[in-house]
Amino acid sequence: MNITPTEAADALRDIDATAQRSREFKSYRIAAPYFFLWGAIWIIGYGATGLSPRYGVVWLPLTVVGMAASAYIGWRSRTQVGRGRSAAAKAYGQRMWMMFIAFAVFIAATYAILPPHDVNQMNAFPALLTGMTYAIAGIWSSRRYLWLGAAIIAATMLGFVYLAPWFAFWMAAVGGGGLILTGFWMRNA
Amino acid sequence: MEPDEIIHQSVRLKIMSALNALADLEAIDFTRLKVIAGATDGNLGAHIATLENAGYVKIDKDFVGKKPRTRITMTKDGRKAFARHVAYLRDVLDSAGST
Repeated sequence: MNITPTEAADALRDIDATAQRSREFKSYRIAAPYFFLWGAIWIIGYGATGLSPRYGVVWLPLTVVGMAASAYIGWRSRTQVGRGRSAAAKAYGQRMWMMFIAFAVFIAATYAILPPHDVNQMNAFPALLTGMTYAIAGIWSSRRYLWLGAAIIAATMLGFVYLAPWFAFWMAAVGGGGLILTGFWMRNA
Repeated sequence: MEPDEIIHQSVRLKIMSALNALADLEAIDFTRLKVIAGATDGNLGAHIATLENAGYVKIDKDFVGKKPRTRITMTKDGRKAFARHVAYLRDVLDSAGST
């Protein structure tokens, strides 16, 4: 069997493209449970805020529960699956934690510099930030995150502009529900 | 250095590339591998059987609830053979570049 330089170059390109696709699909499957979790948290958090802005304080315990549950998901992934998969899950879990901290600091700093004037602004900003984060992740790596980020930003703006009286409920249904649907989409990748 | 004729076939090269991107002993579902490799059920099954006969992959079949599931894992020999084949391909390119 003789392989020409052109065939070798084509084969190496195929190898790189397929390996990239394989890693991408794997990252989707690892991410799926986090989407289920945070989708549920958005439904509860935005739903409570929609009932009364006073219930907005529920976000604090929800965030703590979400972080603890995220840590548990990462730990479970490491203990239930093979050694190599666990390394990927561990890395994913560590990035999630760093992302939470960066989110919290950025949101607190932004609210300090540019205080929101009403509850809808306060509700919209974290969702827009989440959408932007996914969009950037999608631009640099996995394309599904770009669509997700674009959908979150579009849904948030649509609700903020046209459905102001029901904005929190809109975010609970479309934002939270959308994250859960994304979890199914990722899990089936 | 010689090419690995079993691995070099287009679909088998994709199967091995997809498996090599996973960690040691990590399995992948048949259905996911089918999407990644862009193959049909029958085509993928035949090529996986060839790789299994060569000792490059291991096939495990079980049930999730009532649904049958086929999972494929790359063996240590498979990983070594794939690394040798990739080294061969790079060598071909390097040799062409140096002449």
